[in-house]
Amino acid sequence: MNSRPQDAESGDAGLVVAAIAGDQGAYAQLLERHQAVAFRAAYLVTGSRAEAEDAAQEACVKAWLALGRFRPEAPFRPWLVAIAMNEARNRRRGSGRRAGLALRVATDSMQSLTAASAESEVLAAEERERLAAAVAALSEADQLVIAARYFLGLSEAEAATALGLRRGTVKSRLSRALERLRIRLEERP
Amino acid sequence: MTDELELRLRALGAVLEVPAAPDFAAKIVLPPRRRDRRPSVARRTLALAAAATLLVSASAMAVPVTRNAVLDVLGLRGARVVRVPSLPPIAPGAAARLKLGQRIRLAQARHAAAFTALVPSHADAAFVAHDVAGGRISFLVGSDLVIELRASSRPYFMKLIDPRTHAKLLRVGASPGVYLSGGLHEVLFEAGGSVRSEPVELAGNVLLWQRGPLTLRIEGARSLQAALTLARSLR
Repeated sequence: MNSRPQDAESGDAGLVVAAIAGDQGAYAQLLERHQAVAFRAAYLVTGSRAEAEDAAQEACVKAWLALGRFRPEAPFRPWLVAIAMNEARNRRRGSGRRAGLALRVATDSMQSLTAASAESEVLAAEERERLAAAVAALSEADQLVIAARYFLGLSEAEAATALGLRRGTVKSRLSRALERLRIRLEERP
Repeated sequence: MTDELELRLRALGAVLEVPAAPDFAAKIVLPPRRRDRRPSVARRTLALAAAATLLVSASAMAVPVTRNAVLDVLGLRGARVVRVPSLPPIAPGAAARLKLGQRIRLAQARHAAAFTALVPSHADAAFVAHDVAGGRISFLVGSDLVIELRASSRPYFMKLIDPRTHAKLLRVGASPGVYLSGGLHEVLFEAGGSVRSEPVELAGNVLLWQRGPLTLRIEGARSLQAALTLARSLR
């Protein structure tokens, strides 16, 4: 997961200015930094590798074409993520699939287990599955705000940009989403 | 404050099944961005004539390279081939005809541009245009068209092809190239900061290749063999 720290954004500023001026090399560097999180966001929305690739690529091209209207001081990463998520949602809608994020726990997340750790790891894996199922049972709005903060590693401000919300809205929506999640987990221990 | 549930969610995020992201930065083909400037009267007149085509082109070029057809043509400079899910519709009469530039005598063609052009063994006419750095030399050979320009890191030709178009990677002599046939495609090319579009019907089968410092393109060949024969006749 790309959970690039805040200071990476400050390092983006020069690249963003150059990219706005038409420097394709600078734009390529921006993509190198943030393509992973854009793709991850698209994959969580579409649940399809192929569609996520197409959505993320389209987002990269659209962002390039729209850079002329981008404020250089604004953070690039959540803006790219927002475009990728929109593209992904459009593709999902076009294919008639229902809303909701793809929250599958990787089967290879249990690797290199020692015999002693195997049992606790199995329990942890079951717990993760249960948590993923509980998140998946929430509304998509709740899922998205949780995903932005914890699965994409965005800050509160970045999540606001990526989701097209006010920062205060992200804060309150996240708080309510977590509360609903707690209730679900307590209902189904 | 981070509570236990948030920690568990972060941990879940780390083990969610998400494939590795492709390297878009390395393989994506960026279309030229239109500049925000007020055109002169002359430019505006030209722009009006091609306005519909430009709009079509802009939307088409917003379509990225799809996952299964990245044909960045083996480092072929000055040209890119981009497969798109579907070509944009071309409004009747909107497509601008390819402008070959000023007609010149065949004997002048080799040195009419900033590079030394390769000349077909039998050409009917030659043209020079200066809408791209270094100039552009074109030859009419029967119903075929040979276009030459100086290769550069920035694509001049951008070909959009649809899923029905067959793209065959090949070598012309020792040079990398690609042959497009069988389906529809559209040629977009940048000149003087604007994007022009060439109608599908004009392009026919296309051989694109790079030879030394030149990017070359043969349009309208009946077959790959015919295109290769013409390509090999260039001296």
